[in-house]
Amino acid sequence: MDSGAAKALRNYLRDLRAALSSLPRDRRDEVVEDIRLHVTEAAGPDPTEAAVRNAIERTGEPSQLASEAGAPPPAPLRFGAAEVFAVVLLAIGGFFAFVGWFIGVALLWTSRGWLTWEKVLGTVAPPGGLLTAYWLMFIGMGPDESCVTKSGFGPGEDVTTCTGGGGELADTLIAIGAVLAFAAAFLVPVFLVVRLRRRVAASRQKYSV
Amino acid sequence: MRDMVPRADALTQLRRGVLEHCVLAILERGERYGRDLVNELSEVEGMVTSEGTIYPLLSRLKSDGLVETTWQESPSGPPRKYHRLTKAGRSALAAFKVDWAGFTSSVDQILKERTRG
Repeated sequence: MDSGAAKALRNYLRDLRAALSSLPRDRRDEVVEDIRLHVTEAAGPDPTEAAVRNAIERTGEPSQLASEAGAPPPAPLRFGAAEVFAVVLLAIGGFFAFVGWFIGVALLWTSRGWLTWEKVLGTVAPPGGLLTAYWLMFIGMGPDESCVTKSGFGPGEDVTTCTGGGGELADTLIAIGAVLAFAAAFLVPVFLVVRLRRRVAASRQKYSV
Repeated sequence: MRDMVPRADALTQLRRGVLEHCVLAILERGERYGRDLVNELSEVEGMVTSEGTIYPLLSRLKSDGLVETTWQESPSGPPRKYHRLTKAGRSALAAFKVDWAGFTSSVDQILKERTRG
């Protein structure tokens, strides 16, 4: 089958799997596989995308098949309180004893609103959100070196230990990191919001009766 | 009369209620694979709204132990999954036939009864 046909089938099976998500896994896999074979056979040998879509339509809407299975329909996708808090805490949760950011991460990962890669992005870009960005900026602007001199070991035996520094290269890298972290801390939450809103709008359209 | 169940809905519910026993009855005549069942059921008007509904139903019958499945080679393509009644399935069907006969005759009686006196 051509790529359009394969993609239509793949999307249908994915929606079906989601609609059947409340079934035990082995039964769900069995039903999805049975329907895959059914659609493939109905579409005929080497089917066009149109043939596959016709076969899919005769086979039935995922929500309809799920209700036949006795599976309650999964709750519709919403941009709810959990999602709002997730985005807000990811950005600024770090300022609440850092715990806030972890709560944001937990809300992010338990939400059904985002794909895994979007959740990964939300977690690492940057970890700790704005707090991390500020911290990077702070250490980048801090004193280059701090030296401590201990005396009293004897004449001419002052011991001076200096820490920090590393020179201009380190400063530049930290500055770049700070800029990137700031950008990410603002842009990534916005990105997550946009993606979820689009997804909610699309799912409302599809499942409206 | 707004509280009455609309005609289409009532029929749909009736069909839903008997669908799985109709599947068992067809399987009593011999093992079938999915598409066969869909075709035979389609002969009854409105029994099959969409072809795919047979599969979750069969999955449920199988997990209830009323139906078992085997794979068989097909002359025209990939192996096919055939469904057949188990002993429990036969008993369930036999019990349903009795219940159905009693139920339909009672309902017929009520529908036919002329107003008294």
